[in-house]
Amino acid sequence: MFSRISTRTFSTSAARAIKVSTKAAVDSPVSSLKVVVKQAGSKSTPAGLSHLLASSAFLNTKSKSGLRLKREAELLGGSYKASVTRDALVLEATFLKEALPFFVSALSGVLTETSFKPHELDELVLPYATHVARQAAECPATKALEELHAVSFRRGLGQPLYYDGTKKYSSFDLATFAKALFTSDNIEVVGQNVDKAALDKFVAESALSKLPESKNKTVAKTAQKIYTGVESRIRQPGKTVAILGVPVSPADIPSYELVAAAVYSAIPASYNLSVKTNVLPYEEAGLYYISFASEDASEVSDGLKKAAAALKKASGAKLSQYKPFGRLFGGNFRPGGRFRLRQDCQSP
Amino acid sequence: MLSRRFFSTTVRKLAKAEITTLSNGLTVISKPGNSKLSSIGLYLNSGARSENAYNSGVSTLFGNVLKNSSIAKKALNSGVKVSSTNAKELTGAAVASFAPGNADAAISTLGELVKNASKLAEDRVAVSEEVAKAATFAEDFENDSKKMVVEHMTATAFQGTSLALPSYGKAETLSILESQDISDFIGKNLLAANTALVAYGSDISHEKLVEAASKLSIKDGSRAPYPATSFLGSDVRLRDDTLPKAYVAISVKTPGAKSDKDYFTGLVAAHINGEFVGHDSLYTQFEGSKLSQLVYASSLGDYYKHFQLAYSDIGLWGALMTSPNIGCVDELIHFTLKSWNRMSTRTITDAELQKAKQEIKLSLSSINTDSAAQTEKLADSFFSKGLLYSDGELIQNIDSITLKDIATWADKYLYDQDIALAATGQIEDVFDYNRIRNDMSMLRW
Repeated sequence: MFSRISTRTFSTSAARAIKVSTKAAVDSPVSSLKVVVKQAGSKSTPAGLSHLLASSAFLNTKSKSGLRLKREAELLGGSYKASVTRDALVLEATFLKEALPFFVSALSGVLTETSFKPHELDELVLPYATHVARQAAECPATKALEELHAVSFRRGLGQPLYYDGTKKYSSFDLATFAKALFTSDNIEVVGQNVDKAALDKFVAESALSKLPESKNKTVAKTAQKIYTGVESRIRQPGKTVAILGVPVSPADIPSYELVAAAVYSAIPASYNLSVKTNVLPYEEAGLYYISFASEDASEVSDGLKKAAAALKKASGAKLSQYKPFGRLFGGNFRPGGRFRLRQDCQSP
Repeated sequence: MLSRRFFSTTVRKLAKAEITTLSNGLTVISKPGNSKLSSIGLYLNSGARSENAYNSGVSTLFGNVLKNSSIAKKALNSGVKVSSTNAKELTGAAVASFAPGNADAAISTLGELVKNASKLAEDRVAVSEEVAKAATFAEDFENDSKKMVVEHMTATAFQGTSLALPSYGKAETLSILESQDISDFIGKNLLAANTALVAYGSDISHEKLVEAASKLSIKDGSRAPYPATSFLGSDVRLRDDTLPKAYVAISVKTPGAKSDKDYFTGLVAAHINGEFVGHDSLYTQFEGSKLSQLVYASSLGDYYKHFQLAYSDIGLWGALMTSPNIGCVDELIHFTLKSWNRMSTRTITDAELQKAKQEIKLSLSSINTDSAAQTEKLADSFFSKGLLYSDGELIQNIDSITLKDIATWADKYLYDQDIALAATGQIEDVFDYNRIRNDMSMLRW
């Protein structure tokens, strides 16, 4: 109680505007809300820290326990999750329309008053984060894509997405970083199928609007260094995966979407070889890749050679005959691509 | 009390699917949505259930032939991606997904595919290629243990009837199928009264669809009714100690999707314990479900999901569970079945019921699924129920379920009823049929 009063008395400066936007509404009883915390993704924090932050979300806060939040959300009809990307930390909630105020306050609670208790770190956060990281590492396709990031970018975007246990953090570290990262200028609220005016009002009334601005606003954006001509091989049981990637500057992303389509079309269809291609659009750089996965290593190397040859040829005016379906169809735009039973496991 | 207020504020504004039935019996369904892609699908109200033991898989094959045809490949250049899907009572022969602005291309692609369906089926070379792929897929399906046990549970429940045939066909029958089999399937099932054109997305115009549907070259007529089916309490097991876990699916017989009250009660009942993902969620230990708390605290299993599979005239209600803790599988099964008993002993609490209702509302009207899956959902509920509920009507139906309804439903369909069971993996601790069957009732309350 005392702490709540003191926060209010300290917030002397006027409420800063948090960026709030809504997507086109459709008549559905279900809404969703997303809070994107930029500069809190894995590229801009010490390795693994942002994953631990995401894994601490929706646990005990000063005003509500994690248990109470879960039970209340169940009764109101809603679910929530936190995830980490390279660019940002993302909190998401999907709920029955009427529960909007509850979930605005739940999401704002995560950013403003999470307790970061030491026992939660040991008993919940670390086991969960390690579990997620282990699952990702067991999947050859995900591991290869991670390695591609590491060799193409080294720092920043090249940092591991998940907590790999190489560095130890205390709950105090998490609390300190959370305080530094969860600032009003980093936060963006996106509502889907919600009333914009109502969302604005609830956000303004919530603790989100009382978040401070970041202290050093003039953080010089360090340009992302790019490394090419690097090769890395990892031995691991499971399918053989090869991934060929080109780190590109943000301006080149659209043209590389055409390149992706051109290279993809040069790979003959095979049932056993699963091919995925995409251009990952990050803020400072993009990463074009095409990956091959199969039980049969020779098929993988064959695909890789064809892709490399097609990549050399793919340039200039010839590209205009291709269309950038990659982004639309999730990097899998061969006709009938949906007809695959076992995903090779999820990639980030 | 709470939920009634929720309902009254929203129902007026909710979107309803538009349905038009043409004079030849073909149905056009469209529902606006705000997904990134829109989809238009040509659905037949006949899937694996319309096959027989000698042409099992032909409906899947038909869809594959269409979606991998040269027409579908050409369509990709105008921004239309064709996919296909299959189920027991439904074949999504061709589902065209497209970005806003390409609706006309999608419609004309579907028109072309329908017009040339017979010709495509006669292309022996292409068909034999698809046969090989579909047979490999059917074999692969058997390796996906979760889906596999549910499929085999259905097969043993309805053994000897066509509802027992696997959704994607059997590898051994698929590999001997020929062009002629597909042509036969087309002749008997691609008929106007057996077909629906279903659209979902932002770039959908119902008038345009109706116009396109009236131009589709589909023969008049309706397919033969499904052969009679019956439920048999039975089990089927494939012990495989090379798998990391034990996989078990258990279900009882329920009335199908057409039985309104029982259908919605079954749905709510399935969500009382709902889904459990164990360590895959950070919040599992906070969940309100009593079964979830027990399974988590005692590490009995790592996953379970309650389901209701509702076909047009018959259904299955039960749970799929997996456990890496193979010595505790008997307990996992026992306590799951004991939690089912609670519905008959009338010990389900108000909070549990409320949680179940909210969860089902959320999943029935979830907005983030892809548009192709949405068209399948629409087609499936239209075919199995014979009508489509708006979101508001769904909510109303779910809200009307009381604890008493659950108890009556459970007394009739769940308590002391025969079960169908399928199990695979390390299942040395799955008890024999009768011992598990005994857990469906209690000697004392």
